[in-house]
Amino acid sequence: MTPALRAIDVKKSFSGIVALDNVTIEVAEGERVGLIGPNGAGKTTFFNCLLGVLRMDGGKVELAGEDVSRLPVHRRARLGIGRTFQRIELFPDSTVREHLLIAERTRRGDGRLWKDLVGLGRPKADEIARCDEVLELLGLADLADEPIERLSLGKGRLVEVGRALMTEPKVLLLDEPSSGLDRAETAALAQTLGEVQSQQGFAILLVEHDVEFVSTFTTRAYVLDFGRLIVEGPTREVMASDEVRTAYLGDLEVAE
Amino acid sequence: MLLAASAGEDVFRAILQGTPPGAVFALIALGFVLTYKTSGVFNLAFGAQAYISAAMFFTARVEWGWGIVPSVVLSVFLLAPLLGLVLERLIFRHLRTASAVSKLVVTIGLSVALPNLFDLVVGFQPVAGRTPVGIVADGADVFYDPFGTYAFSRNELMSIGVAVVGMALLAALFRFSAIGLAMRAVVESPRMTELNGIRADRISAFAWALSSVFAGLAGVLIAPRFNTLVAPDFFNLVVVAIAAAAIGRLVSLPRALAGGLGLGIFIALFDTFLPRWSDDLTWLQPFQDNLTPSMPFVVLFGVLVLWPSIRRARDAGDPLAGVDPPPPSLVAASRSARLTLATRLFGVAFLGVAGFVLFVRGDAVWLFLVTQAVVLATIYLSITVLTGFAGQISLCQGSFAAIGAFTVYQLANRYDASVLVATLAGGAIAAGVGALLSLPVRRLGGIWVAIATLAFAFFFDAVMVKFSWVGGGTLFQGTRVPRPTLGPWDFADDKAFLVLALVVFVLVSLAVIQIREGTIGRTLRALRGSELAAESIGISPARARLAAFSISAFIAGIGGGMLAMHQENVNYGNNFAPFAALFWLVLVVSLGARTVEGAAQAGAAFSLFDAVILRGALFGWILRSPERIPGIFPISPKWRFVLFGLSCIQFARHPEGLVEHGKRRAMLRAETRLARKRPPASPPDPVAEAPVRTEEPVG
Ligand SMILES: Nc1ncnc2c1ncn2[C@@H]1O[C@H](COP(=O)(O)OP(=O)(O)OP(=O)(O)O)[C@@H](O)[C@H]1O
Ligand SMILES: [Mg+2]
Repeated sequence: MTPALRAIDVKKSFSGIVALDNVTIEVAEGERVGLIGPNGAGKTTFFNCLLGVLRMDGGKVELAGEDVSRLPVHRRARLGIGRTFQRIELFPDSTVREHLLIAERTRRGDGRLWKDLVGLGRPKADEIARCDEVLELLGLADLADEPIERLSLGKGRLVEVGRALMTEPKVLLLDEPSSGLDRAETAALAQTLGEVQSQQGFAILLVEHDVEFVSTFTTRAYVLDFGRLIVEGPTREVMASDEVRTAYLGDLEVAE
Repeated sequence: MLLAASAGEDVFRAILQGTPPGAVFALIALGFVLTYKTSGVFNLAFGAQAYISAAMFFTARVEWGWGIVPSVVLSVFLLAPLLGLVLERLIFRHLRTASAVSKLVVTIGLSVALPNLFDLVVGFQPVAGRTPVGIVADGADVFYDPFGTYAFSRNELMSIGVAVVGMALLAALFRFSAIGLAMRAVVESPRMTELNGIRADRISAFAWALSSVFAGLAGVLIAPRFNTLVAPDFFNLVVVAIAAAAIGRLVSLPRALAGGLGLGIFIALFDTFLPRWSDDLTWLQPFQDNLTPSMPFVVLFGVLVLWPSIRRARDAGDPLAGVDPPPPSLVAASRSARLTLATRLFGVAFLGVAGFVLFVRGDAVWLFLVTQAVVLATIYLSITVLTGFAGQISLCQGSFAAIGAFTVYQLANRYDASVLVATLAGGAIAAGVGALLSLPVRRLGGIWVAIATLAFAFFFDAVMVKFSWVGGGTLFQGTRVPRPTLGPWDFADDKAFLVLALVVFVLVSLAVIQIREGTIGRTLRALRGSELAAESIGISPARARLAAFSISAFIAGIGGGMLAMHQENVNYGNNFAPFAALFWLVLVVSLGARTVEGAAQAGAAFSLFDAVILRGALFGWILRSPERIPGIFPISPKWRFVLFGLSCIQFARHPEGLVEHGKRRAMLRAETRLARKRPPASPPDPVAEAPVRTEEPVG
């Protein structure tokens, strides 16, 4: 079976400093995969290369067997890569529902000028219903009409997830979704994500510092250190391996 | 370049000829890069600073009869650095974390406000034909011919000399003085210096003072090339500087210097050889007179569009830009239904009464002014779409409007077409040009869009307008446009035309509101909020910008056609020239770029502020008699530029504009008052725990 996402030998350097050194990963359909590594390991850079925000120096990205290495960001997004951001990226000036609505509109590819002019561009009942479905799933239904500025960081991250979900991704890239959240919020987020994922069956590639989150949420994990993959395998084994302890857990001094 | 051997001497002469202006361009480019690199301000007001020094020199030298040395000291070494310091201290220091675009808007406001403020304070009046004097006696009349090919005037030699000395001093400063070294560090790597704990404030203040001296020097040196001292000519200078600086990708001082010099020589070469080629190639003929003066704009545009590193490195233009403050949401979106209804009713009532009075009692002058306000408001809606919705700063809206106006003129005069149809055609052509223009700039974003559109505006101004199939060749008098007729209505009557203008304005407003609420508006809002996130859900920035540019250009084209019909003449120089259109942006941005009301108020401010406020008509009306208007009226119309230009400064803090900001404050007050009367309907919001936009610790 072709994997949902495959990256082969991805290379990237910033003015001489190697940020990614031949990184190869594979995410199967519906799989939950972790990508961990110390600060500055290159995880966010890798996400940016996958989505095309940064131009790779070499390598290849395949989405469901199709080479997307040369496509611009928005084309890759349409082909099925969804993403959330480490530093939250929301649209000011919009309500929660409007975030989902614009994603839904874009997915449908529906943006004719004449439709706007005769008033067909306003939100339609079926679109709103679809958005509210997702909001319900994420437990954001009460906040649908809330302006984004009034949300807590935790809810903001959920809105990002919801917005990504509206694009019906094949793979969802989550960049440290728990950063800035407390324990309870993290647990709730993991719970929600798990439910939605098992319902809709997309694959998840999760970058995360929270060890517990990664261990319980993912089945397989890759470890990135200084731009190189050092270990990969089932998450439990990876977390227990010596390399991870020295490269990653060791210098963060996390117990267990 | 293909050059015969005999052309060698011509090349040499062109080089000599291009060196003096090139030296001045280099000075400007240096000054420009200095502030850009040390404070992240893309200083379009640089030309205004040059103008102030030049005008001060002229005043001291000619009006007050001072000697050359004291005049130079006053204008270049006292006034200029003082101005730089004041700008830094009062304005730009507080904008360090503002986005590059908001800083740019502030400098646009300043370039409108500063020259007028100077004129008002010093009482300077540019008089046509009074040629500025140079800083050497008989500068324009005494010549030296060291190589036997080109005779330098004294002024030109002085330019070269001053430029060389200035650059040498700058180099010495950078090499030997502590602050120079620190500044060089900032110029090379702002981030590094902050880590090293160098006092950024002091450096930026010093850089502003120094840059201002360079502006002043350049202004005083270049002034004798102009017939009359007027601010727009100096604004052109800044475009030249940007072209030169862009060659050095806006970051390198030596390359900016080389760029300036190179540009001067390049222009001289063109001057020498283009006439010869056009002898053989007749299609070149129309370009001959027009292309040379517009060379800097062509170069700038070319550099922007073709230079790959600029296209790719979006952030290179943005060394100190902080995080964009999230624009606050519009009042209308969040205010209660009762309040909305009340304000609407009040607005309609007010306009109704004003309209009635105007139709019944208004004389021709008032009718003219109000119609102009309505037509301009239509044009300003194009800025609402592009700047308010899409967040793009376009400085060529004047050109788009002019395309509409010229189309009406051409179609009506050559083909006797119906002017109303011609207006639509003008809108369509403008939309096409807008779409074309958006192609090269679609990937640039941020300040680069502003620069590229500025280059286009000047290119249009210097080249396109002069073609007979555009501007008709005979500017300023020959572009007559008839008023339309439609069935039984003849809009030659001013009242009828006002109705027509209102209908057009209302139609365009409705379209703009529909767009704001529709897919395109939402897409643009998402893009403006976060380009990265918008792309990640599949929005194509290029396509969205193409839509925004063509819709905006269409509206501007329609409005331009209407303006030409109203004045029954295109009046390109007065209405649409780049510097004139700069004030449009200033007005709309300072009053409210996001709403239809903002555009309407901007239109009213442009054409009525002078008559109602500054001439004291309002006072006369309140006192019931024009004779009792207090003696302080009329106030100089230049205050209009000063006031609105300076109010642009608040763009960085309130990007929604004064109207929106005032509305929000008033609304908050009204709602708290309403709430006090009633018991609170719901407990305080549990959602508002922490704001979303908190900065996270990186990593
Ligand atoms: N745009 C850029 N220009 C230059 N260097 C960069 C850029 N983006 C990232 N880097 C560098 O690349 C390396 C990898 O950074 P990246 O942000 O991908 O790390 P990360 O694994 O996401 O770390 P964190 O856990 O802190 O988010 C770092 O050394 C960083 O400084
Ligand atoms: Mg990261």
